[in-house]
Amino acid sequence: MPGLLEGKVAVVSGVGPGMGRDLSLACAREGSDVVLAARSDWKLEAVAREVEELGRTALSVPSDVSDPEQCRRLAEAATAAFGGVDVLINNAFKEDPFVDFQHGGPDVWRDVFDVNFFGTLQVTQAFVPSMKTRGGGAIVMISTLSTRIVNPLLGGYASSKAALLTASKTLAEELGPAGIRVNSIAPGHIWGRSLEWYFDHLAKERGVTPQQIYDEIADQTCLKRIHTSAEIAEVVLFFASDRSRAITGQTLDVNGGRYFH
Amino acid sequence: MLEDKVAVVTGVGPGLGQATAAAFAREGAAVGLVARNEDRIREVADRITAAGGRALPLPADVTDAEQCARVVAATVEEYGGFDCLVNSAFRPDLYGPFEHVDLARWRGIFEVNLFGALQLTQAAIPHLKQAGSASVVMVGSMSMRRIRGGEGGYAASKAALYTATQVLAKELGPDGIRVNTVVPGWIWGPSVRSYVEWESERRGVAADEIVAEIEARIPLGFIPAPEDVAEAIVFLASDMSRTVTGQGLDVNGGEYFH
Repeated sequence: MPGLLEGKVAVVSGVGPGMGRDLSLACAREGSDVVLAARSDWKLEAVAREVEELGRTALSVPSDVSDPEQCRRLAEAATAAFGGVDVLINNAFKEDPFVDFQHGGPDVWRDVFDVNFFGTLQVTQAFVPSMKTRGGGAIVMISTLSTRIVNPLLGGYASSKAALLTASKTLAEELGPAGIRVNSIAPGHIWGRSLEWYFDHLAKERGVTPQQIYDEIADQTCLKRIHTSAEIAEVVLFFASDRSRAITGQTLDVNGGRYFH
Repeated sequence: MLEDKVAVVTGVGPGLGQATAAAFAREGAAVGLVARNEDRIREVADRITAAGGRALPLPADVTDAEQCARVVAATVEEYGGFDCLVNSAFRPDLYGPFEHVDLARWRGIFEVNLFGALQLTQAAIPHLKQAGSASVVMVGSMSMRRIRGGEGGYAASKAALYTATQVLAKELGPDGIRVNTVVPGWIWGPSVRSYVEWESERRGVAADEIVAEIEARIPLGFIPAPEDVAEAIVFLASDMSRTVTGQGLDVNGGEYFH
């Protein structure tokens, strides 16, 4: 059977060693060429090699999504190389600096919004024309459980992603007639290097084993585990593919049943 | 996407159930087909088999717990396991105001839409547990998202099922059984067609115009086909969604957002 993205061109932002890499490889495995965007050159090259090992073409475009000019250049480079784009996966994000509202507040939040909200919208806006030339496309936003379960110290991050969820619905409404679908996934904890590092840190702080921390978090889910970014990438594939051709403006919570929306 | 899986789809009639069964077979699953109308499921089974798939007609009424148990037993006997269950059987509402409704009618709707789905699911649990990675998909309805008068029994039955689904997700998750709901909006098929005809007659407007009005409210500009909705059910049944449980996925061309 042909891959879910056979013959398509997919753009993945925020390509690093974690989720961005898994998304890029998942797209390539399903038959699409991949445009890789991130600020750091070296991160892009490693993933580009892996995409090419899967027999697909990779185009690395170092870019900072918080700069509208660089977003435009990214879209131009993609269109010049492939003639158009079918899929955009907005994965680039800025983490919260973990400062509470009293001490951080608007100044800290603005930086987070510049990437997570305005950056994402800037990239999206830049790619709309190249999707229109293909007669439509699929945009997938990566949201977060933090918009559902609010944590102190994550106000900027959670708010920026919540704003993006609402903007995605507006975009779905506006871009639907052009055949462009806009959907979001909201992952919970994602098992990978940075969470592993964080659990080690928590374990030391609390004098327990990292496994105990893992079990505590996993126990809050129905499925009793923390899923990997590769597993979450498969859900993104569904929304990127024509299999979800009748779905737009929706958000799917991908959290092992930690929270029901 | 469903290679080596054994699935049962209920409510295999002219619309979504049939499209779902066909999509499951196309993706490699062996499919048990449940409906009261035996002729229809034999026909669907023949078509699937002719296309190289595997299908087993299982005539049954899901409101009868005994018959639900037999569906499960026959599936396991024929295919040696049970991985996915799609509860698509439903009873529609009669469109009457609550004030004068005979609540026996609502009870009848709940017997199919809620208790029917639950008792078949319950009967399947011992085998779903054996599967290691199993999935139950319920079919919700736009009538529970967008409340209108006159279809309270149907809307409430689907809302009850939606909440029950989340309870099941909690209870069955540790056994590797996921439980999710696909929530369709308009689905192009016999019931939309008769609604369009009815509206067209009532208002004295051409049927095409009624269809155009519905499409104008849908950002993607088309009324989803049963096959479009079936893709979402395939996804939630497959291991591709192994990270997802207790959720609802709305398939409605963007008519409303959840």
